[in-house]
Amino acid sequence: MSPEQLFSLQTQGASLVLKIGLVAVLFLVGIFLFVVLKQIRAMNRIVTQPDMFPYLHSFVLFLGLCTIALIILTIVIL
Amino acid sequence: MTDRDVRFAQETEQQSPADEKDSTRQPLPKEKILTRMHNKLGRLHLFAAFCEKPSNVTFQTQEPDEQVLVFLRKSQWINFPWIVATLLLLFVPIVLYLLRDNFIALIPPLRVILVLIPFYYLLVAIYAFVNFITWYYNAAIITNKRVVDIDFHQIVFKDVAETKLALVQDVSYNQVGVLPNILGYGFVLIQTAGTLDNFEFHNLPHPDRVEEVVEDLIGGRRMYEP
Repeated sequence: MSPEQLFSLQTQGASLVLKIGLVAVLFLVGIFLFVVLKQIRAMNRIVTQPDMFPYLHSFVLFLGLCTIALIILTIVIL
Repeated sequence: MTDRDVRFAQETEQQSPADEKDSTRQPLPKEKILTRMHNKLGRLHLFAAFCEKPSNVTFQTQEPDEQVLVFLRKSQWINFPWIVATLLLLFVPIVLYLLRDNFIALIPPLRVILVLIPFYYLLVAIYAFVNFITWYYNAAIITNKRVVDIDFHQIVFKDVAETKLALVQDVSYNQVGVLPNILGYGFVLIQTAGTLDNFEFHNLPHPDRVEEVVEDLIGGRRMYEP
């Protein structure tokens, strides 16, 4: 195996590790956001402050969408 | 303005300073407590930490005839450290970009940067958001029947404690340090009867007002109890 081929393999390996690591972390972030969403709903039942709840709810959903987009981006680009 | 408000305003105008001093010593009648609260009638603002008689706040175990008199969160100043930290974190990629010449060998390929930067900002946004909702959902509620303490920490920990005003024995507050005195927040301790846990509220805004309200409420109760 030539040095060029070895270097290419190493680069591909590093890229794969980075991709798998990032996707795993992003999945954890997604699960975390899901827990946050459930907790916000639960807290809103305990003490209802209707003015803020829609914003908080929407923001968590937005972060969740960003996470999904990043997972796709990671898989496609890396 | 309701009839109660008008009556309260008239009473306040007629009251001499000496009378005012006396009235702080004696327990107030329930009627007067409620009318006093009326003059600060409020709608809870999005980021408010203190609101008397909020019209838009309810809680899960609220009874039909129960009225929220004071809604409290920790002082907004408590958020200052994490807001500053978030702002600093926002600028880290820009600073790294400006200093890129110093570690040019460590710079990853563009496609990796395109993924890492949004990932980094996602984590920063989550950090700020978690801090915000931790502050937002840590609340205390004083009603005409009880005191409710809602604790929310680390996303997965929530604790709701409440005590009836009949079980409250004493209330005190303190403001220790330069910042609490300048920024007007402090510690309020509500002591309950017997072996029940006391209620401790840290970093509450207007601790003097909170103490006054609870004191008036338990004083009024004692006065009117048979």
